[in-house]
This record gives sequence, structure tokens and C-alpha cells, in this order.
Amino acid sequence: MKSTKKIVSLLLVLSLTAALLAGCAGGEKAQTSETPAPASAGETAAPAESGGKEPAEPAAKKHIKNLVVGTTSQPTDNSIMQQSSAVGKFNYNSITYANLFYPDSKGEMQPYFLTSYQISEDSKRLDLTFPTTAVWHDGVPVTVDDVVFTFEFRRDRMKTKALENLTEIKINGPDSVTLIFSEPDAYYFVQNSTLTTFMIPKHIWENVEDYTAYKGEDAAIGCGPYRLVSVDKDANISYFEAVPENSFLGELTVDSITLKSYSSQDSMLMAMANGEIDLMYDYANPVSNTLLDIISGNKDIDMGASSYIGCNQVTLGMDHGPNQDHAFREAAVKSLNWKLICQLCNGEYGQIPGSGIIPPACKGHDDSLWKMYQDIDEANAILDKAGYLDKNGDGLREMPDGSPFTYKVTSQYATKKQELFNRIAEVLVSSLRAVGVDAFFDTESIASSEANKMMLNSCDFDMYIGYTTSGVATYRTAFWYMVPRDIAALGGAGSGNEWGKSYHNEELNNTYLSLTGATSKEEYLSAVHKLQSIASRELFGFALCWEQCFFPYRTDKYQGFENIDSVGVVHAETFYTLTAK
Amino acid sequence: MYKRVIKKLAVAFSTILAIITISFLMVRFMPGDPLMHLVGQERYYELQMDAPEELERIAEKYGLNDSLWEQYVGYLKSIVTFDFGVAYSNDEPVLDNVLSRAKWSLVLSVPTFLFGGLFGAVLGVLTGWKPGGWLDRILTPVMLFLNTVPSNCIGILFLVFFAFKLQWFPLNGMTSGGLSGLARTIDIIWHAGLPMLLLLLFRTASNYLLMKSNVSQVKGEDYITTAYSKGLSSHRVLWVHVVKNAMLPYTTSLCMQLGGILSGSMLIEVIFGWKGMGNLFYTAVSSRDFPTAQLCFLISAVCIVFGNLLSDIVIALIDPRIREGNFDY
Repeated sequence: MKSTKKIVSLLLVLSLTAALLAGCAGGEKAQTSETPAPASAGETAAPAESGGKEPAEPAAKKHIKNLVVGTTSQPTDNSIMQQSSAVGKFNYNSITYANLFYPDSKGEMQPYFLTSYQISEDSKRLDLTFPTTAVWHDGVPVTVDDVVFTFEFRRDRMKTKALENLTEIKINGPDSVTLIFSEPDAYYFVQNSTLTTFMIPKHIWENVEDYTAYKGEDAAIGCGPYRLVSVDKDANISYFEAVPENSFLGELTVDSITLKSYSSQDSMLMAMANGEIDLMYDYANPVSNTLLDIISGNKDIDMGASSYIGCNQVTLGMDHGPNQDHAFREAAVKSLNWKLICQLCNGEYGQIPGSGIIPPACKGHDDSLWKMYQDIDEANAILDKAGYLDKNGDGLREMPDGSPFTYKVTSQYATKKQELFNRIAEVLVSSLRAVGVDAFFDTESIASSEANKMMLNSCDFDMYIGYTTSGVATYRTAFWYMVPRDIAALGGAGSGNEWGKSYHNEELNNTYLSLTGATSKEEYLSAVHKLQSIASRELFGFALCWEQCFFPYRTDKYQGFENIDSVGVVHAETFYTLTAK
Repeated sequence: MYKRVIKKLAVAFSTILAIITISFLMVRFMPGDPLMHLVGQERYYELQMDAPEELERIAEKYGLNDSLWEQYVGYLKSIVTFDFGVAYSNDEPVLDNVLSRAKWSLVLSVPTFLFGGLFGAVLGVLTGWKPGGWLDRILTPVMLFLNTVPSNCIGILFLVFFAFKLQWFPLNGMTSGGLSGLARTIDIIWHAGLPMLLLLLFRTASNYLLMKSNVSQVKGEDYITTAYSKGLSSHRVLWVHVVKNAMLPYTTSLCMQLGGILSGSMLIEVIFGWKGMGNLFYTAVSSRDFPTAQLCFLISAVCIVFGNLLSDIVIALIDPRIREGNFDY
């Protein structure tokens, strides 16, 4: 009995000691400077002096002392070279690092760190100017050497394809360089420099061997408008403070930022409803429409609804079976239960897509193309006319030559979206079976990533469900997944998943190459229009739904939000436009 | 006795070896591409388009291109040398990651184990001794409910009601940040309140039902009638004869619960954003962080196997029939 008591006492003491040690040890700090006060939303302060290039405006803006942003990514890594952690993803908005460019609300590329850029007519020269007042967060000034180093590092170490043909970096002065390409890549480089083409400090990275693995404290140093002050990993909070010298878009109106990580979107939304956070940032993960009930009816929260630029889509296996026949493809899309598919993808907010695939929020979207619809009678009539008849009376159609066929529906191997894809696959299968097609959902190919890659690379599918992220949709578009890899990768060596391997349409391939090789906005838009037109005509793939996305934010304390399609209210301009009420 | 322990140890080690193999295979058949988690979603697509050779290099660095057999042999070596490699999630040594998370799991699980064991035993004895009494009529349906409803369901309900609606507890995490010393400790205890309460309820419920059943069973035995016939008081019969015998299966259960002390609260940790080992395990599996997932799986398995082994030893120690080999439990 005595020994039992001892054991119990020992365990109790152990537990309390663990709690005390955990408590007294303090949070794990990324950088050991002072820890700001706990996050409390809604604090405002007098305007700070602006060190940016723009002169202070006559009417002083009411600064936000501390903006509290919620996310579901965890603060695992603080290096500017890493994107998988909370800080890494938040950096897409130019926080600790400064991107060279950023897309504005119309999707046009604007200079961010740069003060200006100029693309030559032949797209082989790119003139850049930049400020001489910017500083790295360790106090070292940003110089032209850093600019040169950034481009060399990206070309030689990070293997940026758009800089592959960069042959010379001409220094014009302390605030100007010219990039000279052997091929017309300048326009493509600028248009694709959306989220992760940032300035790299030479004095830190020139001697680092493996930049992906470097963990030094200085790995977090950039020349962005906010310095990472500390990270409390136990509390899942990262603290940032403004660096006025690096206010590239004018006056920074947010003095400090607290980035709080939550374990799920449910708890993040509850925290917003309770006033714990002011807004959310969850890159490419808008709030699911099924969670909106948590905040609906709250007058202080705007749902942050906008058109989503990405989409779930289907790529058809075009090199075998009935998909080689246009009539079959047309019947297949007209047999699908579009309302149910949209309901699955986006609840009541989903819109039945057009045949041109890319959603209305995309640059160059063509709204004149026909929209998808379900008409079982028409689908049956098309199949009958094309010779796909049920000749043996088993209730399923055969090929025009009388041979039986099966129709394999499968999906991308995706952690977060797998359940949705499975449900969509079931709807596709049941719709196709309703017109007599022996369709089935192939679960073997989603049993492992290896099995999935094997299926994809051998084009062993008839319908393949996948998705286009907002990042890819911004410039490369959903067609990136529907052309062969050697076309998608600008003529370079193909690798990874061979999404569009089964379809070799010269017109499509050339049009896609003209998109990636565009040297002007007109050329780009013309290519996007043509791609939609080919998709609408040939039906080699289709979008499953055009979605609304939701990035909610509180409206009771701050003003000046700009809700950008597919991005939400947190973007590069947010920290210059947001003011306290 | 020694032969028995050696036999049980041999079974335990072979079980662990089997679990090592199963865990190794399981994490590799989870959905998703680990490379995407390693480099980040946008960078992954960039590299896929711009520099597939860079992706190959990263895959090579983490051994993702090795054959399954090579990865398995490497994994066995890592276990023997206690070098579990670096986590894909943060490039830190896996062992450090797991150990730092384990302490947070203990903050929740040790009090839960102790008080759940105590409350379950006391309440179970009281209601098992007087079935149909007012305490039994109140407690048994409640405990049955708690024992049968999945912890994640009640967890979310508690979160919505106590943390979101009433705002008595924080919604997420282990501490508010920006605090130190005693204030931080108090803050941690406040954050631990709701998940710990839930775990305590679940543990108490299962222990209560077990103890109640044991007591009900033992009090009908012939030797209890004999004890009464010897003129012993009810009080003495209960605490000396009934409880002592009812403790045998209860002790086994408690020992086995020790097996889940590090990862047994996974769902609650995930719901409340408590960064314990269960949460780490969950995240590692969902992000295909193979080294972390494997070590978590291994530690959990070892805890459970040794929990079972411990229960065998403890039972043999406290029950002379087993100790002397006259009765196989």
C-alpha cells in the first residue's frame, strides 16, 4: 500500500513538474529579442514616421498598433527559403522578405521592392530600378550587389526556369540593373514572379551550401517591411514589427503583426467570432462553405466572398477507348449531374462551369462559350447516333464495333481533397452509368502515391479528377494540367506527374507554348482565349465547378480592406491600406 | 515467475518488431506526396515546372527515391542506433521533436491517469456495492454515455459550448504567448483545463464501469458469503475482501492504460491544438513526415506492449496464485 502511495505521489509530482517546467521555460524563440505583449486585437497608435520612398500624406493615417492574423499553418520554420510553415506562407504577402513584384487587384504585376521595371519590346531585356534606402533586418543596407546576387542565386542555385536564359546582369548604377536574356523570357519571368521571387541577402546566403536545409537564426532575415521579432512555438504565435525603411508601397499603417496558428479552420473561425483574431490568412485554403455557419449572422464579420481563380477539374484520357471519339466526350459531359457536382464542390455557392474551363476570375476568361448542362436524353441520342449501342442487352453500351468497354474514373492523390474527390468520382460514375456507360471508380490508383503516379504516367484512366491551385491559375491556368509536361515546362525536361500526356493536339500545344512564351499582355490574353475556345470545342477536359471562396475578416475595428478574388483581404497592399476606425 | 517474465519479454519484443514493420509500411501508403509538404505547395509546382532535377535532389536527400527495402533497412538501423534522422516538417532531429512534445502530453495524461484511476475506482466501488441506489441511477447512464460516444464528438461539443459560447476556456493552443514564469504556468493550466477535463471524464467513465462490474461480480462470490457468516462488518467485507479481489482486473486495466500515456489523447490534442505527441503523430501522418510518424508509432507501440508486460508482472506480484504458477491469468 505504501509503495502504491509512493508511485501515485511520484507520478503526480512528475506531472506538476512537467507543467511548471513547461511554463517557466518560456517559449521557444526564433530570435531572442524582446517579446511583445500578448496579442490583443484592436489596438491603435499614433502614426509612426515613414521611411519609405513616398512622402507622408497630409492627413495622418490612423495606425493599427497590432494586427492579429489567424492561420492554420504551424510555425515550424522561419527561413525565408521555406514555404511550408506559417511564416513561410505568410511571406507570400511580402512580410519578412520583399518580393520584386506583386499582383494587384486586377492581376497586373506591380513593382514591390523594385521602384520600376521595363520590359523591352523583344522581351529580351528587363530594366529594373530599386531603392537605395532599404535595409536587411540585421541592419546591413541592401545594395546592387544583393540584387545581382539574387538573380544569380535564383538562376544557378534555385534553378528558376524563367531565368535559365539570363546571360548577363548589367549594373547601371547603385539603383539600377538590366537583365539580358538570350531568349524572349523577360515577360514570362515578370508575370510568374508572383509570390516567391524575393530579394536574397548576399552576406547570409553566399556561403550556405544547402539553402533548403539551412537553419541559422539569420535565415529569417530579409528586407521585407516586417522583421520577425520572435516565435513562441508553444503558443503557436509569431510576432513581427514594421521596418519603416522598407515600406515599399508608401506608409506602413500596421505597426506590428501577430500571426496566430490554429489547429483547424473551425477553431480559427470561432476565434474570429470571439474577437481573438482580426482576419485570417490561409494560403490557397479558403474557408469551406460548410463552416460558414460559425460566423454567419455576426454583423462584425464580413464573409470575404470572392470568385475563386482555381478549380477542380477533370482531364480525359485521350489516347485510348471511347474518349478518342468527340461524340462520346460530348455525350459524357452532357450526362453529368452538374448541380450535384457543384453542390459537392461549393455548396449553394457553386456555379455550373462553362466549357472553356477557366473560371470568370481568371485573366482572359471568355464568358461567351457554352455552359455545361445535364441532358440525359440528348446524351443518349448522341451515343446512339455515334453507334455506342447496347448490343448484347446487358444494359451497358458497347463500342461501335460491338466490343465491350469499361470507363475508368479516378482522381489525384491528394491529402486534403481526397474525400471530396471520392464523392465527385461517385457522382461522375453514377451519371455515366445512367446513360449506359460501364463506368467505375478505380480505388486502386488512389491506394498510394506510387500507384497514382504509375496510373497517371501510363495514362491508364478515362476521367481523372484533379485541381488547379490559385497560384497555378494566376498565369499558367488550368490548361497547365492538360498539356504534356514538356509543353507545360517550357520545352524543358518533363518530370513529375504526366497529367496531359495522353493528348497530343498540336494546336493546343502550340497555343500553350504561345501563352508561356508571351511577350506582352495582348499575346497572353490571345493565347488564353484560344485555349478556352479549343477546350470548348474539343472537350479534352472540363472544370467541375466555378467556385466562390471565403476569407472572412472582422470589420468592427479596421477599414480599408480590399478583398481580391481568390486571395482575400491579406495581400501585399493590406499593410499599407488598412487603418483603424 | 522468472520464466514467465522472460517468455512475456520475448513475446513483447517480437510484437514490437512486427509493429515496426507494419508502421513502416503504413505511413508509406498514406495519401499525398511528401515532397509537397517538404518544399511547400507553390514551390513544389514551381520546381516541378522549372527545375524537376531540384525536386529529385531533395527526394534523394531524404531517401525518398530509395527502394522500399532500402528504406526499411535504413529504418531498422536508425532504431538500433537511436538516430531517427531529421523531421521533414522542420529539419530538426526527430527524437528532439518527439521528446519536446512528449512532455506536453504528460501534462495532460499523468493527472488524467491518476485522478481518472482514483475517481473511477471509488465511484465504481460505491455503485457496484449498492446497485440501483441513487448514485448508481445517476452515474451509470452518464458514464455509459461518456464511454460510448467518440471523444472527438464530445470534444467538439465542449469546445463550442465552453470555449466558444461561454468563453470560459481558450479555444486553442497551450498558452497565450508573451508570458513567463508563474503567469505562464497559470496560463498553461487554464489552457489545459478543458482538454484535461474531457480526458478525465473519459478515463473515469471507463474505469468506473470496469470497477462497478468487478465489484458486482466479486460480491456474489462464495467467499463473500463466508466472510459475512464469520460476522465481519459490511465495511470490512467491502474494503478487505471485495475491493481487494476487484482490484485485480482493475490493476491490469490501469497498467494497460499506461501504454497510451503518450499518444492516447491524440484526438483531444488535435481538437484543442495541444502540441503533444498525439498531435505530432497526427500531423506527421497527414503530412507524410515518415521519420516522425514512424518514431511516434514506435514509441506508442512500445508503451502499449510494455504496459501489457507490466500488467502481467504486477498481476503476478499481487496474486499469489499466478506467482506460484497455479493459475494462468
